[in-house]
Amino acid sequence: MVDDLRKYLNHLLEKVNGLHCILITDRDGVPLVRSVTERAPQLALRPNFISTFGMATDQASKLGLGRNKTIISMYSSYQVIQMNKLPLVITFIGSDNCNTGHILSLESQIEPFLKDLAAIVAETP
Amino acid sequence: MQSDEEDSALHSCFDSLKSAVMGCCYSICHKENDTQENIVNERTHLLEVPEQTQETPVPVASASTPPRKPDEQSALNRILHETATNVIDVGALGPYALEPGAYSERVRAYTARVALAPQPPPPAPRLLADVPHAERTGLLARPGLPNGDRDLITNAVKKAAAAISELRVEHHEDLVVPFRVP
Repeated sequence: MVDDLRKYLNHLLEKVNGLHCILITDRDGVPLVRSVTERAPQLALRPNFISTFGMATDQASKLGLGRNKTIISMYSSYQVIQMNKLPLVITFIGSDNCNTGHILSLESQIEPFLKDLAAIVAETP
Repeated sequence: MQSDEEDSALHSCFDSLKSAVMGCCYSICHKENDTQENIVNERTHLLEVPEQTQETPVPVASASTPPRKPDEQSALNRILHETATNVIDVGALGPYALEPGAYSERVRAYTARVALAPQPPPPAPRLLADVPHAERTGLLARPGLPNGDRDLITNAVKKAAAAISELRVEHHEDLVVPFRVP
């Protein structure tokens, strides 16, 4: 499964101009599947960086606007889009001028694969 | 001033009297219970009933406070827990990092399980296929059509449009045809 999924993520990565990587991790930033180009910043691939989203989405869900689903962080030369699919977290890292709407539209294309991955995370102690 | 002193003395006297009377009542009741405990009469229970279950239905007025205490405590704890979870305290979260050993162990577990997982469902077929980025940029960088070809296409489309606009349906027979029904 993992090879097919990685190929599929690579295919999605090619579709969006300026997208550097797609990571599917658990809440603590431990990767299940990842598709990374050499342009992706290595610091942003660390579990310490990815796991902060888990806490941020929990706190953002307390603001009285319902459950937080996605956090988009814009940096000077990168953008990081993280989606709350707990127990999974999807992280997209792209260039600052990458089409954010195009990245967000990939959610529906990744969604069918998440059920099996979420079951794997739930079963792993 | 003197009347106040008298009042306070009277109050203290009443208080002591009250406590004495209550103590007497309690002692009397207690004694009665003690005497009845070992004597078999018409009020003696045939079956031994535990004291707690026997006492619970009796006090109606005072039942509101003592048995509900644990419920109130649990409700208060629940409210406290909910409030604590609803508070946004980013400073208290602190940095969180998985230990390297636990991290690598979990990576190994995920890799093994993902490899054993069933094949993912095939993506929905699309009418228009995407061209890879490199090929796309190459195609877009090519020079456009020559003018001769563009004129040829334009003229062909014009002729086709004219031909389509001249299409007419001419009827020569009746539109309603009677069937040969006897």
